[in-house]
Amino acid sequence: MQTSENLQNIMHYLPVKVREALRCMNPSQTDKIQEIRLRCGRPAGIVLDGREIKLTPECIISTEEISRTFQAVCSYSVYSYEQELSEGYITLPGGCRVGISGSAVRQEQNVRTLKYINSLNFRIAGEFIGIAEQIFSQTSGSILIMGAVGSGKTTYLRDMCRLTGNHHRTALIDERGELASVQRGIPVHDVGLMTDIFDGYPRAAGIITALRVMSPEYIICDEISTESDVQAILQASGCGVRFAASCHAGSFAELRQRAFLRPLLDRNIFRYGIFLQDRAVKQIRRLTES
Amino acid sequence: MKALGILCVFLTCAGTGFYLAMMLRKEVRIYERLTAFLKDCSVYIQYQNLPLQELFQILAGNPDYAGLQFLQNIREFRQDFETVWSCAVQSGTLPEDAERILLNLGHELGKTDVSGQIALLELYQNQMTRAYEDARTACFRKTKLYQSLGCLGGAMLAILFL
Repeated sequence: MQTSENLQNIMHYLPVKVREALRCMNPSQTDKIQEIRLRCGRPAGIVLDGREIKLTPECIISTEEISRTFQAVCSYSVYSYEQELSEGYITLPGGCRVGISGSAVRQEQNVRTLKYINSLNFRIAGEFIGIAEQIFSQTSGSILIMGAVGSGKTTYLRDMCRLTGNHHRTALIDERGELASVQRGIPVHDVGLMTDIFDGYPRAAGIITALRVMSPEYIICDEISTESDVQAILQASGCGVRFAASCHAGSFAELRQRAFLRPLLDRNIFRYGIFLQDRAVKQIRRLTES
Repeated sequence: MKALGILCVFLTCAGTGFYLAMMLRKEVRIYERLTAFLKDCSVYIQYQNLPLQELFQILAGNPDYAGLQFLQNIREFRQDFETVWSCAVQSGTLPEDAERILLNLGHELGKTDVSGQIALLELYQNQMTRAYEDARTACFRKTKLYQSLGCLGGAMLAILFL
């Protein structure tokens, strides 16, 4: 599924004037759209090649349009997305993620839900089959994919999952539903024939559960970001499971500075580090000594 | 020929009476189903957290609700839910009170969290139960009246024509 197809899938969620403006665009440009941003009282924006531009200056988004789009994104069932709303995003069928900002309704220290939604950010998912083939054939063992926001980590990891899942027993921990985009048990994206999908599981709990119940050779997970994720990876690695994971880091130096990742690097859990930039592999480095 | 005509007049009047009584009973059955429907919605939202579209697909496939035509019209919606719901409810297959209650419900359905939706559905379930009780009382009082009036009116016309 290419970007343009995913764009078509999200079209019906967007306000009519945004849809019309997008239809007037050159198809070669629409293929490159990475994000569509709607903000209350301001013009709709699109992100092309990492830079945000106005869709059209007169395409001002009203509060009513934001509200209607929000309802549509929630399938007109806000109650069904309480957990996602408290985390600020909803994943649409097809894997596109909608980031939501508004006023937080708090319960003790946690965000319970959102009110007065003021911005929506549609991140268009891309499935580029084959982009990880070269890396897959050249490397063995666990790999860590890193890059800045929007560098293509998820897209890359999805293809890596497809490749490992076609050759090994693989468990995919898809906390945010972006990698496989499971719809009623069926993955929308190709994630491999031997892949078991743990959809919506918190990452650490998903890793441990997968390890216990599916005896995977590989575990794939997106954006490791907490100490509990790291502990779960350490535990599973001790059982001989290999990992393909991603994390936010602008460079290899930045990766080493992230304290919570240090146990993984110190214990040589990942054999290779793959640094992505602008949706392409910029650098591959061996992270272990032997 | 005359006797046949008179028989037709009698049967038409009696039939009208029976038809009106049947409509009253049908109305009661619709209220009964709508009350159960709201209860089911509440249960599905509370325990399965199903989005409205999936919820209505399941309920529309339930034979118990086969008589609720509006449910068939909302089982697949891709545009604004409120508009689709209003159109479906106002299709003329529901009693007036039920239509009013469901229209009001449509303005608020799906817009709050689970506890809000449960409370909302309970509120409308109570309203629907009251409307059901009224319809049942009316049915109990008027069924025999309509049937008797139909038969007696038919008999009176028959006598007049004789």
